[in-house]
Amino acid sequence: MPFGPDNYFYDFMETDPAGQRSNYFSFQDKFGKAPNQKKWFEDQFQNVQNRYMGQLGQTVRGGGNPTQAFSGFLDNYFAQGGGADQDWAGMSPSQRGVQDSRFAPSVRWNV
Amino acid sequence: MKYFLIRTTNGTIEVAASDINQAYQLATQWVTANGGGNVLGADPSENGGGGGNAQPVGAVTTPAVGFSRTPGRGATSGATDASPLREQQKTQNFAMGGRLYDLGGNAGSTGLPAGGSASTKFGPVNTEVQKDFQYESYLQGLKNANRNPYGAFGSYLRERYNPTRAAFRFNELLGGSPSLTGLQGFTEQNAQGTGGDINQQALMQFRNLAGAGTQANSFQPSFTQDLRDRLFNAKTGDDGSGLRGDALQLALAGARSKISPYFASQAYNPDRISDDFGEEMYRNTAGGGDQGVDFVNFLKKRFGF
Repeated sequence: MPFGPDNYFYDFMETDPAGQRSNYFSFQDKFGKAPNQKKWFEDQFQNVQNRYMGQLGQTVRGGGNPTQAFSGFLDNYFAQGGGADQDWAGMSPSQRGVQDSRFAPSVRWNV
Repeated sequence: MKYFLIRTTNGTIEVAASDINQAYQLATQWVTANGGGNVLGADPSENGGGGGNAQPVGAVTTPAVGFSRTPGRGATSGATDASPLREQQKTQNFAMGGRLYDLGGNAGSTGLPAGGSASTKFGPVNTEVQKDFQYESYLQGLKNANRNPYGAFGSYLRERYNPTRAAFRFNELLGGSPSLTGLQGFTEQNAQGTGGDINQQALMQFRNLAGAGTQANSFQPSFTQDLRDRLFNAKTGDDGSGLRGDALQLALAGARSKISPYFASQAYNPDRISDDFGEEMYRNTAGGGDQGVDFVNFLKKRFGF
């Protein structure tokens, strides 16, 4: 049964600061296997939460009802090809901690 | 499927059911079919254990040895008597600066049936006793559902006391059949997650409440004119702060089913709403005559219901 409003802890995971952290880190097995990637997503809670609140704000400013739940937002974010994948893929190799010099050796001039 | 031993005035019966509420329903049907009587409660030591001699759904056996057939305290004490402890609880302000809120122990407000009871590890607890120990009943309900109010996320579980009690109270006043298990059983059911979407239910209850203000016959006998007045015609100095606090809890929970729970928790500040209503009461009184203010309508407008 998918996690939703029927769960007694749903409100906690949606509204309580600790619950929201718990909600976010419940996806930790999708943070990636590489240490750099895992560490990066561990640090992203605040950014992801801000993006969620920004989305609610956009809805309100657009005249709509902010119905999106944090749980649903996280489901989408960590879905395959979702925001998490895009965020990680959109970073430069150096931001991802990849040493590209290993694959592209510096140019040598033979004179 | 679980197996429950349900104590009735006609003896203890064994019922196979999906949950305790269905077990109570089946037990009530059985009692009615067997000459009438009361369902007293469930035996805690055996229930849900899946005993080897259990019967199919709806089947019953009688009687089991060793269970009391004595009706609970509520069978002899009226539902409206006010004990000193209950009065003491009424005056204990609980959050919101004591404006709208108390522990909600208004005598006779829940309309619980005489003789109804729920069970604890220590034995059955009569619903009348639960009225005197509402918070303790709530904690016990959590524990019966294997939710530890002092374990992980325990503070959240304890904070859910107010909305749970509010939902229970209006369930009693508006919901139809009175509860046989009291706040404890109601809490247990909800905490197990078998009660459905609690916020959606709160919204429906609030709408029922709003309807009860205009449709005179739509409420239960226990929802007396006096209680209605406190919600729909609030006047200075009346004793309706607890009831109104519970109505506000319903509205707050209902809002979480209409919009993002997080947004609702941030957008609706109960202290602010309480203060604003106080100011409306003040204006009403200062304006020449205590005409009364419709609190439910105030909430409807405030929450956009």
